[in-house]
Amino acid sequence: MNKKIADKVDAQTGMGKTILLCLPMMLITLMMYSRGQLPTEPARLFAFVVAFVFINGIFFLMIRTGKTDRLRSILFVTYAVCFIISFISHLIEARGSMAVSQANMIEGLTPFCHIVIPMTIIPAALTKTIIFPGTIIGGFASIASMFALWIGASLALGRGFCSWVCFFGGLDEGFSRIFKKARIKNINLKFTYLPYAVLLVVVLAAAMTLSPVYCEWLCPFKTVTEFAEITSVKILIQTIIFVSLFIVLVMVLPALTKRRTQCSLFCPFGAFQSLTNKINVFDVRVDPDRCIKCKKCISTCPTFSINEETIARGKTGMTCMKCGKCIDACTQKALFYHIKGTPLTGGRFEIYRRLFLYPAFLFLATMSGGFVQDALVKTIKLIATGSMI
Amino acid sequence: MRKLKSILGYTWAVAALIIVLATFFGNDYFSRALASATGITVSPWYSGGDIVKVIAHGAYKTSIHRPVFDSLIGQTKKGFVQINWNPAAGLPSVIKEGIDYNSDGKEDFVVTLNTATGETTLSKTNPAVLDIGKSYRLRNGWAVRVLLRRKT
Repeated sequence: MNKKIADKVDAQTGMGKTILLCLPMMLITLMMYSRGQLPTEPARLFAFVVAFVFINGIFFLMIRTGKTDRLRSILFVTYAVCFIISFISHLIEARGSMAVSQANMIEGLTPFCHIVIPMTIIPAALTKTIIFPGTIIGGFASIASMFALWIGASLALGRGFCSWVCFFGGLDEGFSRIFKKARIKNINLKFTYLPYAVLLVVVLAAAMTLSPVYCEWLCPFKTVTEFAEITSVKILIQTIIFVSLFIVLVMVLPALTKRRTQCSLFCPFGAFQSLTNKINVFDVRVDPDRCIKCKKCISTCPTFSINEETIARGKTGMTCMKCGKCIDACTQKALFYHIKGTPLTGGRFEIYRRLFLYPAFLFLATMSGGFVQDALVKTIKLIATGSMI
Repeated sequence: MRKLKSILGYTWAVAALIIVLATFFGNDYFSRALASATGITVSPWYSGGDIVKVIAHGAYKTSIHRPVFDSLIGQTKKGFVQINWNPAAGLPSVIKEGIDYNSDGKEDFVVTLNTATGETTLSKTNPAVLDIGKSYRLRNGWAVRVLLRRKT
């Protein structure tokens, strides 16, 4: 890539062009958030306006500045925090507690989560049943609607799901950004195989026991969503395990390593989702000619998806979440979003990036919009009445 | 060939946006289509399985589910049968009911349930009946699971 093209990439998009490029996103999010009707309740209207301006402001800055990751991260972390506020307050409203009882499970009142998906496939194929105490259709986060969402996200984004769609990913991403510098720098890359081992074990164990083993025993995110009511020693042990994993993998290690350790070193869904990168059109490529081997991308990648070997091959690893951190970090513009099948030269990198940003950001904006609004309304309620419920 | 690959790449990239829009706007349609096309249901280990018999008692009714011995391949040795009573408003303070879970015309066990405390007792006449499991207070009634051994 010559200097002229590099300068073109560096340059900010003009104001008029930026507004034009943001218009489709504004219109779609307006439709999605309002569902054709503006809220009449003042708190809801306020939350609607704030969420709309905040989310579209982020997209505007992404287009204007040409930077992706830092802006995505602001919304991604906000999304995770707002999801937790909204989810917990709704649980307490509906059930009076974050704990899910056996009776709730019998009645199918457990919202379905995408992390269960890999565990459900073998039992679904052989028994035509889903091993999860939710509902197939109807209610909040039904099994079929979450499957439809996952299929759409996988086709559109591949493992980009983990950086643009997952409502839990923002938690370890948030903790990974607490300190400016990593306290632990050398991590044995053999650990990156661990999610595949976890995936294999939980998929086989789930098939053998016809129960979502990972959810029952290991999922750290139960700490901030819902968990089984402690009625036996077994459930007590499960609780100790998942809370410990949350502290270690979602809070402490991301803060010390500046990596998304839960997502890249443990999450079986993440490992499973890596396979969908193969059927997805977007990837991140490296121009070895421009690369000065500074290894900045290697050290900044939150998922250990780049190493010298992948750079030599001109691409990132299969586990790439397309967060854009390496692209933004590269001073030589050697990394770029790419559309498979299209030329690697010719200075169309901003077009590739925008074509990726539209579906990716639309997913993030739509998924986060409802939770951001709801969390704002609950917070206003808390300030005004002293209770979120 | 290179140009064709490029056109296909761009087409797929644009299609990704359409897929996202369809995913959200058509989520209800797609989830219903997915559910009906696959015929998938929730595992009976959670749902209790299909209801095979409903007995009306005037103010309330008893629903007997099918015995659950489901496993990945074949059946498990131990399972359960779930009995539901609803609606909550019509339930007496103590329910005592004989249940024929396998529809052979003979009573297999008698279960009692205190609808205030959830306390249960079981008197069994069929050797395949093992024990009483937990009782569950549901949104509109009660359920108990009676543990069974599969007859070989």
